[in-house]
Amino acid sequence: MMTMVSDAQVLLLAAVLTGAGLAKLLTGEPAPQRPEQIHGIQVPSAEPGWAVLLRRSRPVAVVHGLVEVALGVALMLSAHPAVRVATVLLLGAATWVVGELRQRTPDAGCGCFGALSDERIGRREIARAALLTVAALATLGGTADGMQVLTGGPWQTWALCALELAALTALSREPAALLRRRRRPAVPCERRRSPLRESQKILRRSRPWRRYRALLDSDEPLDVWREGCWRFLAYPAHRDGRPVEVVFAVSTAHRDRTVRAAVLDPAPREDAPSAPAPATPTSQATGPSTAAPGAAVLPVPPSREHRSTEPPSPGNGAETALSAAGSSAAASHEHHDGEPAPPGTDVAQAAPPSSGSSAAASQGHHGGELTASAAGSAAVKASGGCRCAASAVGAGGSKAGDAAAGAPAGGECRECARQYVMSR
Amino acid sequence: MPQPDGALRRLRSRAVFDLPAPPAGAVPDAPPRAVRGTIVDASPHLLVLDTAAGEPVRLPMAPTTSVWHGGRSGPQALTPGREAIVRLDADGSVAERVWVDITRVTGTILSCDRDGRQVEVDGGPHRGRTLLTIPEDALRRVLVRHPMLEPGYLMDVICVRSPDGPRAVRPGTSQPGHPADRIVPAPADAPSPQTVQGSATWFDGPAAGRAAGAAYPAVDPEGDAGGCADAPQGCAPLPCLSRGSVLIVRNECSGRALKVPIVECGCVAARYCDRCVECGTSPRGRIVELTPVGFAALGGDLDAGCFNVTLDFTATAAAFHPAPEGSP
Repeated sequence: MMTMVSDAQVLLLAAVLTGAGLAKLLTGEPAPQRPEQIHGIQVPSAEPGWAVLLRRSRPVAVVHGLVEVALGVALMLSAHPAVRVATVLLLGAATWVVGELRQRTPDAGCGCFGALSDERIGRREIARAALLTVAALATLGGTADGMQVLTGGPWQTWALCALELAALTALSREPAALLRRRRRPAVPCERRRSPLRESQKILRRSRPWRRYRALLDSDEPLDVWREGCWRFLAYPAHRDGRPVEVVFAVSTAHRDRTVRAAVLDPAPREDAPSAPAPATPTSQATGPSTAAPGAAVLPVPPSREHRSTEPPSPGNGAETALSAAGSSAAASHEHHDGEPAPPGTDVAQAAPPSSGSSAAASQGHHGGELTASAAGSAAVKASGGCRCAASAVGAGGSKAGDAAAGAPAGGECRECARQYVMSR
Repeated sequence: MPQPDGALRRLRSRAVFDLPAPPAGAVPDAPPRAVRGTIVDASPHLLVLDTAAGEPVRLPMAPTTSVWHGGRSGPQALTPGREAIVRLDADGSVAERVWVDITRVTGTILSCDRDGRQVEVDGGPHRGRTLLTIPEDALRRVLVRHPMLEPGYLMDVICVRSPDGPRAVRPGTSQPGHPADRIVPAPADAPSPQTVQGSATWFDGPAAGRAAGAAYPAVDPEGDAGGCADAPQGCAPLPCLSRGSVLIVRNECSGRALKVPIVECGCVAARYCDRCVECGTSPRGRIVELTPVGFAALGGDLDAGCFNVTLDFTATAAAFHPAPEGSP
């Protein structure tokens, strides 16, 4: 009889320890329920204690989880007394720590099953830990390991183990927390609080990051900001000896996150009209009369040939100029989906088609080679982001200019068309 | 905190998505109808303001020009050295309304004396704490709409500047019935539409400046976005944006619309789940706080406190475009 009870405890403890350890490793820390500040005023913290510090430490939680999994496996594979004594000590210490946490910071949850144990610590958590300690003490007299019980144990042992597991489940709040997690409504990506660390983690696993990593001057971004579903990270970089910016957009969605990237060429504004940068084919394609003085030149998105694993070389393929008034940045941009996208995917095609003034820009994007071969130049002006085609001096440029003049665009585009007319 | 270069950010984000700019011209970028400055000289026919931007601005006055200085006043309130906010008429030629030394105190009550004459208000991490004086004649009006003058409750009053600090004149809006830290946020799964309706108020503080701008309740706290880490979720489902992002704000009472950049995190506004009843009843939620110039340029009366507003996020194109695949 005593052997049967002892064997049932071995199975029970192996299951509970393995489950608790995996929960700690997989679910992470529960979010703290008490903010450090409320409306700028420091919330007085609870009296600090060693148990609280241990509870909040993620490395401690990981080590604890690994030890629990190891003990659970060891209970199944070995009947050595050292394994059982270690189990008794671990569960006894856990009972003590849960009692201490209940005194100090009951709101933080016990963390017994990782983030699932985020409810206020009550008597039942202490009772559960104490009962498991008693169960561990009961295993000290047994001689069979878990696998022997599992394969050759009587049905009474199984029944007792199942009964104890059911009682433990009834005593625990974690099953309800698990159900709540599965039912929790998903926060829309534009409202979801996405930590910067999460975005950086996604970014560094993405293909655009691997592609442009070699260009970056630093791992520290120049600017990090958020617009709805996207977090943007702009990095300083160099390409072909020229300073550029690489801008990544990381989705803030809960799952299926994508990463996009663009390389912006911060050509000096004064270079655009009179002194095109020799390394930028865009500048060669841009007629001096098309860019307003003081405007920067943004090379057009490269053609599909540019979407290889290697960064495009200067002078390879056609590019359209985008002049950006009010900004010193000029962009030669390349688009990439995140990891799910196959190599060479043209993201711009997946985006909804631009309308109005963007029509010319889209034409320049998808038909970059055509524009270059036919005219050798085409210019698209984006003043404050508004984009319209402007003429390039030379054959073929007039059509683009006419398209711009007739485009139903906003003020910048009208100004662009006016400049085109004056340039002729 | 320096204001980020919103134009450069928009350029970068559009480059990533190959997005066109929103149609320009429909909504003016700059407020053509409001000016804020220090009074240099004043006469019944002319008001000269120093706006700290080059030459002083000369604004014609008319007999119909209304002057506010702690209540309805006259040209005698236009003393050199005082600060004035002027709203021009529809033609932009004559001063329509002038508010002199107007300010506003919004935030959580930290303490108040027994008589309710001195109230310390926490305006959040950006605006700091203010010791507000409520004179006897204003106390009744304030109490009518702020029955809970107790620590932990919210306060919002229109004030006039005085050497002893802001002096309450009248309540800005009605006090929410709940304590500041008990907000019922929007449902977690509620999506943000491209236009959101609610209540707009104005704020005064270091970020208010002399241009149009907005304090937006849902500024992202990470990176250089400029949000407050402890800002609560408001009761309107707003998308996360950054300082420098542009909003199109439409005053539903006057019909005027304006593009304004976000200049501050509106973590105080997020605590107000109230309505404005200036022209009809707005949906619940204080969705934007405007700078005084922006508020006046949109046709708002600074001494009235609020107007019904529609926020349009299409100027921040990347906020909704393109939706990531598989987003919940």
